[in-house]
Amino acid sequence: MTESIRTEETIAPVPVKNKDKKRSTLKRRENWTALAFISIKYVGLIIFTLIPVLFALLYSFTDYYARMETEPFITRIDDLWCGFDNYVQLFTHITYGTAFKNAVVNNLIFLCSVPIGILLGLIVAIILSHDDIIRGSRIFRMLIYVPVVSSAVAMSIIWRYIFDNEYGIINQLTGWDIPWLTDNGWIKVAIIIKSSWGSIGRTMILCLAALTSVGRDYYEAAELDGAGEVTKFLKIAVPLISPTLFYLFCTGFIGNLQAYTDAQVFANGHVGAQTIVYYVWNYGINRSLYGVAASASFVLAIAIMLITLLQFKISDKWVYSE
Amino acid sequence: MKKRNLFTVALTCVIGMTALAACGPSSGGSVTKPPETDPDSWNSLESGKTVQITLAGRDVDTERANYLQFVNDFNATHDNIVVTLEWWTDGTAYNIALDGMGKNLPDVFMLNNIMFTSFAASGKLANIRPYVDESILDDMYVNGYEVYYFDHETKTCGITEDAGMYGLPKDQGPVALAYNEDKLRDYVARYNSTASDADKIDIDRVMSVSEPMTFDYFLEIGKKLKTVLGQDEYVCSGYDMQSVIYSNNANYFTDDTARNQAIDTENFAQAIEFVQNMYKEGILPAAGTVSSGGETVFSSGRSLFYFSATGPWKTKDYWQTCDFTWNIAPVPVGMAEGAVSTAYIGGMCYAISNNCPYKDAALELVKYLSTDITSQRTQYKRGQCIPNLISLAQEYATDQYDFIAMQTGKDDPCPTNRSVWIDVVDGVGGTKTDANGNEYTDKVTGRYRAESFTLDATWLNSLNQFMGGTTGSFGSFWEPKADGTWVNVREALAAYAPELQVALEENYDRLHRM
Repeated sequence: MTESIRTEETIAPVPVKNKDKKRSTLKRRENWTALAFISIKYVGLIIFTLIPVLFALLYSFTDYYARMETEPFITRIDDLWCGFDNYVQLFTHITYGTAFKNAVVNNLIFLCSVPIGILLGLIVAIILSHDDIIRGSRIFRMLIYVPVVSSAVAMSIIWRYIFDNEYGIINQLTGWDIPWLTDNGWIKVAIIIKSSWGSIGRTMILCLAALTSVGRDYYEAAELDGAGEVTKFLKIAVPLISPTLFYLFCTGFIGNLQAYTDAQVFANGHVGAQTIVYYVWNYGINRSLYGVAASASFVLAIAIMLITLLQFKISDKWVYSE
Repeated sequence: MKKRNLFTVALTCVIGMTALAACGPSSGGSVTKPPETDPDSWNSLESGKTVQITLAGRDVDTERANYLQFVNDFNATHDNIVVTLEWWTDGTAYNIALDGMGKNLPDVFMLNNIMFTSFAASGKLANIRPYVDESILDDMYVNGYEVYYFDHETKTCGITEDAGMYGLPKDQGPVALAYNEDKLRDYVARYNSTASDADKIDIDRVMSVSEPMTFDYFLEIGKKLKTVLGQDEYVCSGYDMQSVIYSNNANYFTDDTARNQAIDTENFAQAIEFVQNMYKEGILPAAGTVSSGGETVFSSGRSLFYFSATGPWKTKDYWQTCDFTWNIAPVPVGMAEGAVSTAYIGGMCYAISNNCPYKDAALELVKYLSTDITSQRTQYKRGQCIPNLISLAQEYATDQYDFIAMQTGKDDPCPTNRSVWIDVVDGVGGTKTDANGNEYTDKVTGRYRAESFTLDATWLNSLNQFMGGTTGSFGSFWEPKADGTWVNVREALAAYAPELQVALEENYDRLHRM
């Protein structure tokens, strides 16, 4: 007891104020260190994303024709400010407007490839999920997934050879004379086929994972109730993998609306294949009309947000959640 | 703490924005006036120091190889100037790169006619007019260089008292009607062997360099030759729309200010109908059937004629790829009053950046490439272009040997009628006086591409899309509709004319408000 008292006397307690100060200094140092680490990410985000977005927004309200400009954009904003003119012209202008409307229509048509690709991918996943039926299904999985990790440009060039009007494999083998790459309508069909094929691998791998995670007991219970294969698939498998399907639909629509390679490389800029992103490239980078291009990109961004919101709204009615 | 964070974010934004703004084109003088230029930059060679300048260009690898040689030749003959070549094989990428450089352009660069107006108007190019002797220009075709003058007051190209000169021609780009001479002779003989005397094709008239074929005659022989074609062969695998329009005394605009459209005129409609008739008669391949492109079809020997971008710059490639004798003739002429065979001319010029610190050295290079007789001779011998110099025209037209990179196994480099290209550039399309002082009617001439007169080519692309049926409600001019009828060209053009008018006015306003 005495010792303990002695100890208390010899080791004087640290004053409360000093302790707090030390802690706070340490904490501040920790905070700064943490901030330094995460700032790399944020600086990148600010410089390469936020500021360009801000500039694009400003461009969209100006009549900036880069080819003829020699002074920094910032110093020219007042002179070039045109309010919402670019946005109005996107829908009304005889050249920019017509081309934009064509791009919008093309984009909407190309969206067909999303459900087609998901349906095909799902069918492949169902087939490959039956290891007992398909021998070597792992090899098939790998082969079907290869396009997902292949270069989009390379794939487009290969598909160009396949669809070539004169020497393409399809026309040669079938004896058809379809102008796949030059006709306004057929080029859309070609792109839908190509895009649907391109999304099979991704859909297959995700659906396969979802299907294998569905518990056997659900199926066994359904079998006891006399359910057939189709009923089991529609009433058990589809609802339980619906979150995966919803994810595929959402990301598929977003990716499809941002399509560019098909228009540029596969279709070589054919009018029947031009998408909104191609339009942004064509009017912004190729023709230097930054204002028109920037406004088109914002319209696209808003459209993507609205479509995604709509999908979330509709998802309440068909996506299963526990 | 929150306030401080907000401040940090705001500060970072401001710094970032300033940094990005600084990355843009550097500031310069007003673009509404002729560009100001640093006078010292015209005297850089006087110090005796060696200066280094850059030449930027673009095109296929064969052209790159040619330019490496030209640059080496220049460096070997100029002690105090070292030129380095920057090359793009993709033309679109090259143009985009130039657009994005603002005022910080390469010292010397190739600039196409379509972009020339915007670059000249915005003050990015150095005015070389005071430094180019009249004696040099006296030995050049006016058609070859007049479009590189630009008047900042009127905002138009062409020679005026106040206009500056912002480039010298790289090539004069005349196009002509190319034909496969071996096959044409063979097929005409084959057709004539079974035809009555009245129906026979006059091969001399087809290949005449002084009497261009008419639209009607071209259609007539096309229909006849079609009957003896082999499988996958075509009479004509491509055409140049502008040359057809110009050759019927028509144009897209009423004058060179390019402010008022002229596509609703009778002459314009007749020219378009000629093209439509070529599709109707199967003289041109049906739309969409030739995905490899008309030029590939021609160079692979599957078509008799091709009149699209068949200019002198193609010769170096055709020497390598064509295993047949090919030749050129003037493009067919229309039936309209005053019509003259008119092919498009112009292509690219050599321009000097107004920011170049060694403009005198840059001009030396430009003059060497564009006007030096030795360089010009090397260039035509390499199949790069026709000579820009009048004094070399005769030599070029009659040179029988020593063509570098010429196709092997041929006695004479194709095309033997290469004087047609000279005629196009030298043409006036009216009364002309020959060397002996005799007057004669000039039947072949050239005119600059329509986009050269406007700020950009958006209006032309839109018109072509309309005629191709990808926009508008009329459908394609070049293929039959579902009911078998064809688009009424006059009605369709009249319907589109107001839209084109708005596009042209907008183009004009954009240029004039700078």
